[in-house]
This record gives sequence, C-alpha cells and structure tokens, in this order.
Amino acid sequence: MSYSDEDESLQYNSSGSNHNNDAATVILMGRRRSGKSSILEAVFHKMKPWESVYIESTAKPEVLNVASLININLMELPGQIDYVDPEYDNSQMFRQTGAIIYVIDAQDEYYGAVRNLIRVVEKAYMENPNIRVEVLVHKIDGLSEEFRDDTVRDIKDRTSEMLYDGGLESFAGIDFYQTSIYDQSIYEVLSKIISRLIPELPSLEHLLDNFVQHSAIEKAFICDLKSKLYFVTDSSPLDSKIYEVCAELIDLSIDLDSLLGGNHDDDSSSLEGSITEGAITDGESTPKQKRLRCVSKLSSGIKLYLHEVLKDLCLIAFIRDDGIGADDSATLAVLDYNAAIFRKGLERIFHDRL
Amino acid sequence: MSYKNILLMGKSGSGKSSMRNMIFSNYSAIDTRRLGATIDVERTQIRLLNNLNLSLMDCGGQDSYMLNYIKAGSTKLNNAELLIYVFDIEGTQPKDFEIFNLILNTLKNLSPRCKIFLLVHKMDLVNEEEREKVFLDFYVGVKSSSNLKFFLDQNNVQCAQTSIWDESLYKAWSQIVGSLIPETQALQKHLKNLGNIVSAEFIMIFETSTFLKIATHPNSLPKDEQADLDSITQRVSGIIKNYKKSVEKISARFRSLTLYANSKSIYLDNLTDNMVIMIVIPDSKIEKDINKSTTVKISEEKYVQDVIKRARKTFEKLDFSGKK
Ligand SMILES: Nc1nc2c(ncn2[C@@H]2O[C@H](COP(=O)(O)OP(=O)(O)OP(=O)(O)O)[C@@H](O)[C@H]2O)c(=O)[nH]1
Ligand SMILES: Nc1nc2c(ncn2[C@@H]2O[C@H](COP(=O)(O)OP(=O)(O)OP(=O)(O)O)[C@@H](O)[C@H]2O)c(=O)[nH]1
Ligand SMILES: [Mg+2]
Ligand SMILES: [Mg+2]
Repeated sequence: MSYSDEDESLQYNSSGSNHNNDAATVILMGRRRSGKSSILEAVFHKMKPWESVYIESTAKPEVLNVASLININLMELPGQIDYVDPEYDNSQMFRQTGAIIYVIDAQDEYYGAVRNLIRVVEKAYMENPNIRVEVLVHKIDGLSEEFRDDTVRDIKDRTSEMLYDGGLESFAGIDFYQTSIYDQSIYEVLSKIISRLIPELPSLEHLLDNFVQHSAIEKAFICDLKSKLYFVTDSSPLDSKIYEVCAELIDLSIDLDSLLGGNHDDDSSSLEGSITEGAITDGESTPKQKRLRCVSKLSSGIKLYLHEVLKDLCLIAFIRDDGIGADDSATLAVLDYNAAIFRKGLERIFHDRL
Repeated sequence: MSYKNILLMGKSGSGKSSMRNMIFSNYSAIDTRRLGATIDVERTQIRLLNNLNLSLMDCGGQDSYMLNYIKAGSTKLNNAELLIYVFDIEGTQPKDFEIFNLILNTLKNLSPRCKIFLLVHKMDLVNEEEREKVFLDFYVGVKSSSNLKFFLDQNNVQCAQTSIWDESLYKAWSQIVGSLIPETQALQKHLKNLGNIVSAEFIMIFETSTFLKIATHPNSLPKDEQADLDSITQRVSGIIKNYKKSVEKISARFRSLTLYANSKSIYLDNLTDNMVIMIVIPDSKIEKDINKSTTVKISEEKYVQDVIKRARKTFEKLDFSGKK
C-alpha cells in the first residue's frame, strides 16, 4: 500500500476512463480553513491534531493517492478558489467523481458555507445525478455536547430549504456527519464514505458475515493498518465505541511494533504484490516478514483479535464471550483458522479483479 | 492510614489542574481546555501501590490564594513531603518569582525536609530546536531565587520540562512518583530474576491506574541506550493509557495483551492490583531455552503466562510504605 502526494492539475481526459489508473476520485471542498488539509494530514500522514494549526492554506488542488483495498484519489480543492464559478469549466471534474466531501467549520459562522454548498450541489447534480455529497460538520470538538446535534440539524434544515428553493428537493444523495480530528469520528466517517466506493463491497461483506458467524464474533472489520480506516465491516449495526477501541488497538499494535518490534524492511510493495506472494507460498508468510498478530483481553469476557492478513491490511474481531470458562487457546486457534480461510477468500476476490 | 502530602502549586493558568486530571483522572490533553480556575485547594487522595498513599493538593494559583497559603496560621504548607511547582514557560513574570520565593520561605519553616520538583511547563509553545536551551536558561534563572538555596543545599530539588501534548508529561510524573517510592532494590532484584527466566530483552512495570513507570529491567544501561529505553518507556506508557481509556468507554477494563510483531513478542499483563508488567522477548528465544531443559515443547505464550502467575505472589508482598 502506498500513499503519494502529487500535484495534479485539473486536466481530465475526456473519455472518462483511464485504464492504467482507474482510481475512484473523491473531492474535498469547503471554505478556507474549514479543515480539509488537516483531515487528510491527520488520517493519512499521522499528523497529531494539534500540529494542524501550522498547516498553511492550500493554494492549488492537491491529490493524495491511497492504494489499498481500493485505489482512490482524494483531491483537495482549496477554499481560496471558487470552483463553481461559471467561468470555470468543472463539468469533467464532477462527472468523474464518486463523492464530494464538503467540509463546514462548525465553530465558524456557517451560513455562507451552506450557500456555497448549495451551489456546489446544484452544479454537481447537473453534471452527475448519481453523485454523493457528504457534508462534514467539522471541528465539532469546539462545541459543547448539547449544541452539537442542534448545529447539525440547523445546517441540515437550511440545506434542504435551499435545495427546495432551487428545485432540487428530490436530491437524496446527501448526508451529514459530525467530525473532529481530535477524536476517532473523522476515521469512522471517512471509512463509511470510502467503503461505499469499493466495487467488491457486497462480496467482502459477505465474507465477513461468514467469518462472524463461524467464530461467534460480535463485530468484525477489515482495516487499513496505516490509516486505521475500516474498508469493510460485517452487516450487523456499528457501535462507534467498538470501532474506536479497535482503532485504538491498531494504534497500539503499530506503535508497539515500531518501538519494540525491530526493523521492518519498509519496501513499498503494493497490495497486488503481496497477494501474488501469498498465492505462491500458499498463505504462509515468509519467516523474515512476520505479520502482526495481537490479542487483547478485557474484563467481562471481551477479547480483541487483530491479524494482518495481507500487507498493511488487518482483520479485527471484537468478541464478547459469555461462555463461562471458555478455553482461550481453543477460541484463538479457531480464530486463527478462520482468519486463514478469510484471507484465502480475500485473495480470490482480488485475483478476479487483477 | 498515613498519607504523604504532595503540594501542586504555581500561578493561575500554568497548567496544574490539567496535569492532575491527565495523570490521575483520564483526561486527554484536549479535555483540559474545559477546566476553569481552581477555587482554593482541591484535594485528591491517591493510592498508588500496595501501601503508597498520597494526598495531592492542587492549589488554586490566583494571587489572592497564593498569599493566603503563606499567611501566618495557614496550615496548607505543613508536613509536605513534596512540592511540585509549575512554571508556565510563556507567562511567567517577575512578580511570580517573588510569590514563589515567599512560598519557599514559608515551606522552609513548616516543612524543611520537603522535596521540590520544578516543572517548566507548556514547552510545546517553544520552537523544538530551542527547547533545551530555553529550558536550561529558565532553570538557571529559577535557581537564583534566594530561598531555593536552602533546599538545593540538601540536594532536594529536581527540575523537568513538560507539555501536556507529548510524553514529557509522563516522563516527569514517573520521576516524581519514582522519588516517592522509597525502596526499589527488592523490586529490581525480582525483575532481574524474572528477566532471566523468560530471556526478556526488557521488562517494564507500570502503575495500574496512572500507567506511570515504576521500574524497568535492565535498570541501568550505557547512557544513550538508557535514554532510548526511557523514551520508549514513556511512549509505551502514553500509548497504553490511550487504549485503556477507550476500553473504559465500553465499560470494560484492560486485562492483558499479547502482540507478535516482526521479530519480538510483547506481553502485557496485570502483575498485582497496582502493577502492570510488560515483557519483551526476542523471537523464539524462550522456546529454544526451554527445550534445552525440558523435553515437552511448551508454547511461549503459555510459558510466559505461567511465569507471570507465579511472580504475582512475590510482587504482592513488596512494601512501598517506606517503613523498614
Ligand atoms: N478544533 C479543531 N480544529 C481543527 C480541526 N480540523 C482542522 N482544524 C483547524 O482548522 C484550521 C484550518 O485547517 P486547514 O486544514 O488548513 O483548512 P483547509 O480547509 O485545508 O483550508 P484551505 O486550504 O485554505 O482551503 C487549522 O488551524 C486546524 O488546526 C478540528 O477537527 N477541530
Ligand atoms: N499549550 C499548552 N497549554 C496548556 C498546557 N497545559 C495546560 N495548558 C492549558 O492551560 C490552561 C489552564 O490550565 P489549568 O490546568 O486550568 O491551570 P491551573 O494551573 O490549574 O490554574 P488555576 O487553577 O487557576 O491555578 C488550559 O486551557 C490548558 O489547556 C501545555 O502543556 N501546553
Ligand atoms: Mg488546505
Ligand atoms: Mg487549577
């Protein structure tokens, strides 16, 4: 898996399909200082949230490529430039975009931002009626708990009113979320947005549902070890707190590994590379490059299980054991066994893609 | 039950309550923005190890309060075991040094054996390259406070730089707690034994509620390696504290963790009610050693768990009260 920053101009090839690099595109928009760069830095470059105060305003569009279970280009359009200006030809841009993430600073006056959002929606919908618009009511940490829901509701109401006025009341592809880089909310929301763009999502979900069934697991995720985002989860309802613990376990495993685990040969081998390698060695990891495996026990019979099934991609299971005195080592053996089966299933799905 | 009195002082807004709540009440750094000025004194009773009981007095730092503490007849500075004095690196004025000096003067009379820990705080506000120099300059300035000499002469003054935004906070508070634990030789001896039994690369012991470091094995290394180990210890402490905190949000408590990393195995487990142990073992080292002496192949994990289980009794008996 690799992340790379590269400047990219807004030139799009007109055919709309680029076979060498058919990455999904997600556009981040929002007014100046709303927090777009901070979100990308915090999630994909491990920037500490408080360090984001030093980020400079972005001057031109910037693309961050994330290549993992999904190949995706995250493009930040700086707030300085008005992209819905009629002078500006943005039709190609919206046509090729899977989703627009529109960031609104909840700590600032937001009426202007909502007006701008409406213009973006109008334009994007015109070019691409299937487009999704994900509105992040961001920097929510600065609001006291009791105002958070009210603020989101207000923004939501204003938006639907104005969409109605613009004759766009039928547009259903818009959702609102509360986010902050100071907690796990931004990870959860980005996970949801990105996972929707994975073409194989239904089969992956099915794979996880099977895994959960056979191993008496409450919740399971496939997560990216580098960003902590989950790409897939089983179809049972998601409890944010459980995802938060799982994300924290990833942090812990990665940090302990890098502090104490000795040297990794940090090659930039891609997902494809590791799949072929896995296929050749029939699921056995090479002795030198051992994959992470972590088991944590909590009170009241809760166990967390993390296993790196492909390079930088891990399977996490949240287990609530009410079987009194259940044999731990047996449970773990079953988990390891099922993780191996799961890994095979994952490889099969991606062989079809390649 | 006897308590050791710990005073936490410094001017208003210097960050005392922030530190207290982060170390003892699970606040994260961002939560501290919500704190209001402390009114008078907030007292927290803390039981750290089997029999190490602290009474931490977070003293509101507004001038009127500070002058109250040193008024004739005030008993706040009586019987103090330790004074932790916090300086805000950005907001300290000459007047604040005067008040500091007055406090020391009273302390000299009421608690002459008191140890002093100076924390130069909010160091995150200083450019990273200049931190060391700014810190040293500040310390030199503080040292010239006339009333500190009395305590310096008894070798009872320590100083550290801190920030709530990095692990320096844990480092300083580990030192503080370390200075309150009277007898760690017994602990060190047991750790060494344990280390040999499991062929550990190193072992760390943390206090359960605060996750401050209590001891490590090996306990002394060449200087630069020691610095590495210290910084690793503090970071580990911070990382696990975060995890513990998120676990509490689902109403659970942390029990244990086993991590197989690239070339190490890492085990974290409760050692006693007050101690968590972390053992780091180079890959497959134990299995080799075990197999030399036994014919049965025991899995490493099971073996380590058994060793920890047996060690519990020994560690539970350790006395931290300072009574001989
Ligand atoms: N409190 C809080 N502040 C945030 C959060 N996210 C970003 N910020 C702050 O918002 C400010 C602006 O962030 P940027 O990421 O540069 O904003 P941007 O949207 O990229 O701005 P342009 O590049 O000018 O379009 C910084 O000072 C960040 O520290 C958040 O979740 N909470
Ligand atoms: N930048 C920075 N800010 C800090 C740090 N520690 C605390 N603060 C901030 O300083 C402010 C005041 O902190 P408090 O802990 O309430 O101060 P206090 O010393 O208890 O003040 P009194 O109770 O009035 O004596 C809070 O907004 C904290 O977020 C630090 O290390 N760096
Ligand atoms: Mg930006
Ligand atoms: Mg206070």
